[in-house]
Amino acid sequence: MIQCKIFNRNYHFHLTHESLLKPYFAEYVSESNEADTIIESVFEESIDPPEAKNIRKTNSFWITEDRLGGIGVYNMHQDTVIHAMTFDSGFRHIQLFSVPLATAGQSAELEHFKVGLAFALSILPSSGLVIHGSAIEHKGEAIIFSADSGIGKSTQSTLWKATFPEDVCLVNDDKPAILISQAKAMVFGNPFSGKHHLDLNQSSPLKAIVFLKRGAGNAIRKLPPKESVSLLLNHTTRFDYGKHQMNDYLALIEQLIRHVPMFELSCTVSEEAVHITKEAIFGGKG
Amino acid sequence: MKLKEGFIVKNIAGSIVVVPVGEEAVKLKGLIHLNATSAFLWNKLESDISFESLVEAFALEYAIDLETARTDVTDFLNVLKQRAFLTNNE
Repeated sequence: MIQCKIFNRNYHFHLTHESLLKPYFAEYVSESNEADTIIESVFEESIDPPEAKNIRKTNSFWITEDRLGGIGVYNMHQDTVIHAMTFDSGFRHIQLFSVPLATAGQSAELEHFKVGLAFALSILPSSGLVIHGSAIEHKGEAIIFSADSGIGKSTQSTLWKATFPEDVCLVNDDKPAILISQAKAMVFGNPFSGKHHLDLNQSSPLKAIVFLKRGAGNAIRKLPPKESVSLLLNHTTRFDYGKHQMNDYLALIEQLIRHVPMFELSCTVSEEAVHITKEAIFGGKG
Repeated sequence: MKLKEGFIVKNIAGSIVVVPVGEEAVKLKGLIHLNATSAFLWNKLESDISFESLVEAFALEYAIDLETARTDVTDFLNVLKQRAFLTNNE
């Protein structure tokens, strides 16, 4: 078992590929015997389909709900289960089921990804969200660059680090966690940071979220709420299967829009992109 | 006439969005933006309502004549039907 403190919460991870994945959790290891959330991940040659009477079926998913609000999500290929996750209503106990891939390395990578998804959902009741993006800290304040894969989130972070080597550090290169409370947002590093595993165990106030768009030149604009809503819903992890969880999630999105400025940056790979972003976020004060 | 279960309507910072939940979320990725008039109709359709009652409520709310209301409501219902958002037992 791996015991960690992430996002100010205690986690117990029971993993199948513990020895392969342990190094990624090293910075977050804690001694706490009490867990706020237990995440168990098992690999089986075949995963049993759900036995519950009340199964809602679509082509690719079977969804079950028990009387206490626990939800099971079964990803189906014809009548065979290829992935499954079960949750209690408060995300305190999450079980993940997977079928082994060709090599242990590939299975471990899949396991890390799924545990990351379970982590993202587990912070929802604690007013937390995970966003697909690269987060840096600049002089004690965090900026998140968010976009679809391949647009250059990590590239922007790297450019900032190269331009301001003394002032910038990388907090999480793929899925930073955001805590939203009392009219402010904080960014937390966590061990789910994409294929390069670049993350730090630290937190800082969120100054801005910058959504990236590839452009012919460099231009930045502040986003109105309507555009921010669509982008945030596309780029944050949400739990689509329960109404009250979705309501909680949407309330957090609203808080985030209220308290954190959002920008759209059309950019090329250039130092100019860094300077216009800094000017837009900090004015002359950065 | 009634909307299927499985949608949440929320006003987020002045923007009204419909988000699918459960099976509907699996079928429909993404979200729908509603303007004020379509949000009014959506809200009415969350409970069972006849076409004529919906037209009358719409005409009253927006102080328009019944014929205009009937056209607007029909247009909106066609969009809902195309996307299979209404229950089948109309």
